[in-house]
Amino acid sequence: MIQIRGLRFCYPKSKIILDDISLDFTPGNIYGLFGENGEGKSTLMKIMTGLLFPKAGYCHILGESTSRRMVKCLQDIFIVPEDFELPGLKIATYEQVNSAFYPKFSREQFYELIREFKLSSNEKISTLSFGQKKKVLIAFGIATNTGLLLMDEPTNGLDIPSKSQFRKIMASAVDQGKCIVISTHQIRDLHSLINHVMILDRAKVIFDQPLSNVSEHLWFGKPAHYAEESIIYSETSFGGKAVLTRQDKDESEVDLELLFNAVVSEPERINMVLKNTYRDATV
Amino acid sequence: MQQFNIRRIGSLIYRDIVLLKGAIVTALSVVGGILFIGSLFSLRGDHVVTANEFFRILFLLYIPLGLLFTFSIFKEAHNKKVNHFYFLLPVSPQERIAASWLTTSIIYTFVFTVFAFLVGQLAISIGSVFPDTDFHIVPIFSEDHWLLIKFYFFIQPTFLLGAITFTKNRIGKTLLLVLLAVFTLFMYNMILCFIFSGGTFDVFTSDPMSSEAFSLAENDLSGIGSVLFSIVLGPMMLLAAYFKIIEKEV
Repeated sequence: MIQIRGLRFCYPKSKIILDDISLDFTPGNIYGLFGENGEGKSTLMKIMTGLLFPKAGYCHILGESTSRRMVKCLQDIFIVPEDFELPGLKIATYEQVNSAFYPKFSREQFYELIREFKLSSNEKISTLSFGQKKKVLIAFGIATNTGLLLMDEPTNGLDIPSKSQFRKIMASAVDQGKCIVISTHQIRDLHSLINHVMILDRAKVIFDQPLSNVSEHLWFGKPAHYAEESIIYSETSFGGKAVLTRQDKDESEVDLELLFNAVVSEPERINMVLKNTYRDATV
Repeated sequence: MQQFNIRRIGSLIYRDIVLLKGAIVTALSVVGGILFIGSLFSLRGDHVVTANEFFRILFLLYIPLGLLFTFSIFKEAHNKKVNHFYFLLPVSPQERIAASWLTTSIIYTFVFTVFAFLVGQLAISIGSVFPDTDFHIVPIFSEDHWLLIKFYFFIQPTFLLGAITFTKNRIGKTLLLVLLAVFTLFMYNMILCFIFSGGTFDVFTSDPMSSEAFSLAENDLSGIGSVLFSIVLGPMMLLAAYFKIIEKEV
């Protein structure tokens, strides 16, 4: 779906934001794009949509460079940005003026999602809260049925019931063979949703693994005292929770927050464990 | 996939008009008020709205309003909170240019003319209630009116380019650039006159030689020049606007 190779980017008079990034995004996955503030997550998303152009390397969607902003590519991309404004129209009018540009747009799906988010098509967008506007945009984005759907901090501004609604809706959306990329700091909101993790740190991709691989080879929890040699990373603040090599332990639920902290502090060790176990398994 | 689709252009024009509906209604209300009052004032004395009188009112409104409309069409492209949607809308740059040009020149001129006619006619109809004023048709299509439209079509693409190129103070910067271009042309002409006259020629005098030179230049060059300008300038500006859209990042 999206192929990024040797991508480099910096803003004018600024340090390098992304350096030699190579990534692949395939349909049927929900990617979690994580990183600390200012590590280039939003910038990478903008490059993936063609809103920014790489300084070196390339980003291709359907075999075309995203910076060319070809109509056939744009018809297959939708982004829900972190910060946005919507015009002061009725929800129905907003749908009417924008849906014409997306050939796979489903009006039924859009109005169903609007109802599910407890909104009415006659409501004026200008009277809605930011969270409600986000719901309108999320509903519109899903209803476009684009192959690539990018979301930058989608749960920011959503209330607690809406977050679980959002997870449910997104889980059903990925069944349709879409490629969804979610950039967020609210890892706990999305832990059940994401099936592939990518972590950016100091302008590089330091982690790019499917969660199935992570849960297969790493173990998350409170280690027994005799297992100290297999600890890769531990935190006292999490009640002594740690990341260990799984070995013969039962599979544990991946703690994304712990994984993120472990990868940021011990990227080589984590990657080495996953790489070696992968190699062992394939030999 | 086609990069130029008439239906998408239509959808984009519709979208632009719907998004600017509030501003358009407000602007038309103000214009309507000025046209109405202006037409009523024109009825004073001779009890007739003459072509010249109506043109004077249109002259004040048509070009400034058209240029403001041109700038407002590209407002979305410069707002950091909405330009994601603008640039990711599945529309090609050529469709975008075509839609914005059609909206701000052809559609604008048509709507403005029809609206001006209706408001003027309303003013005349109300004025004809008084015994000395006869009902008559608004003399809208005078020669001056056509020249005004022609002039607008000539300068509008330059302002369209300015509306895309500049992010802040767009109107002021475009006007400054136009003034700079005019001043450069003026200086170029002065330098040419100075060179060809061997350094003795003063273009500001009322010297017969100076007047003759200007007349000659007008006869020999202005015909070709104006044709070249009117044919080449507009499309060149639209082409430049196309490239600006292609290279624009958020």
